[in-house]
Amino acid sequence: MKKLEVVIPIVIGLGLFILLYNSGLLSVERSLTTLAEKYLEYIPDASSIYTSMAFEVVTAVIWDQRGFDTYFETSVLFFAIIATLAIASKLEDIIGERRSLTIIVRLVTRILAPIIVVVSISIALHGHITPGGGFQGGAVFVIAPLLLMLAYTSDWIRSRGFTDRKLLLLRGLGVTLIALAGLIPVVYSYTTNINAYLFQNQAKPDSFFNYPAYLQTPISTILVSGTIMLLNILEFIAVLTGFTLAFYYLTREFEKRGGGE
Amino acid sequence: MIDLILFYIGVALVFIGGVMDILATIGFFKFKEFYTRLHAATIGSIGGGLYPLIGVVFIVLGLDIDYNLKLVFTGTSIIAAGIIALATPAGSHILARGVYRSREESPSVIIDRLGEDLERGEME
Repeated sequence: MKKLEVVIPIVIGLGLFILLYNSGLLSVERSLTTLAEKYLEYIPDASSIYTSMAFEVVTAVIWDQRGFDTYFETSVLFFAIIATLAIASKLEDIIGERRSLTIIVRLVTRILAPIIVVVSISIALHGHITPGGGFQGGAVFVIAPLLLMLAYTSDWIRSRGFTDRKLLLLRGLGVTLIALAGLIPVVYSYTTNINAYLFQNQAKPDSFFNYPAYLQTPISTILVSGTIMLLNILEFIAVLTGFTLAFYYLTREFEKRGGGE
Repeated sequence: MIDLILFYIGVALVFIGGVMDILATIGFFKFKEFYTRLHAATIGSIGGGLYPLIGVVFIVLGLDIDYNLKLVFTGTSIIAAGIIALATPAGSHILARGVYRSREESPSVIIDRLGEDLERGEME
């Protein structure tokens, strides 16, 4: 038994090393793969035929090149929230006393929560220009309601009008609108007989359908990168409502067990 | 001249921050009790987080760089320092309060007025 515990890790480690060495992944002078080079070259380049009109290549790959895949990732999170609901949604009133935390924590939370919200919105809206995006922004946003729920008890979020049903509605709306934005090219293709693909963003060599890359406003021209900014905003809404809902139920469970003080 | 003074003030603050971080690490492992360890951890986050950020502000103000770049660096540093200054006392306060009230660990003090008040029911 003892011998086996030593031999197995060594064999696995040796196998891994040989595999990595032979595939060239351990080499110091490793260059980018051809696909990565193509992505880095074409996506930010507005004159290229494969452009996404976005400077942030990672977000562009996530929402443009593999938008269909990302949609299902979002749906998986959606179903996870539904499963949480099924287990923890028995919202009977909590018996026993619950008090909000001390004035020190409440005051600091009130100051910090708006800052967190502003940062998260900035991360989500700049997703196609700087690193970030809808999911990352949503995940940052959730800290604000979590802090407020811990400082003021979980009733805070309901007393502000954000009931769990409304949050779930927003969550479902976000996921549905993402699917709709991906389906619009297909509908367009069927109605006008012009080639267009599912989750298409900019024009491709054999398809001239494209979302507008720039938005003209009276003040200035805004780069929206076609669907990427729209999908980032929708994903932001979907993620923040989903996580807020999950934390709402977790906080309630925590309070039920006599936490809260 | 004023640039040089600002630069040296900033470097001194960053240096103090590094020293405080080392002291906090030593204290965190040397102290035996929760409350004193919390004290050491807070030294690490105020002394090792706030002071270097203020130091960065002074250093950037002393450098000979673009005006906009100066604004960006000083602005972000001051905001980050403000958030640390706000959040650290609140965090350590609620940690100590939670541990004291749940009676996980009682502080090793000679006179415990808060405990007396709690026993008499004068404090909630």
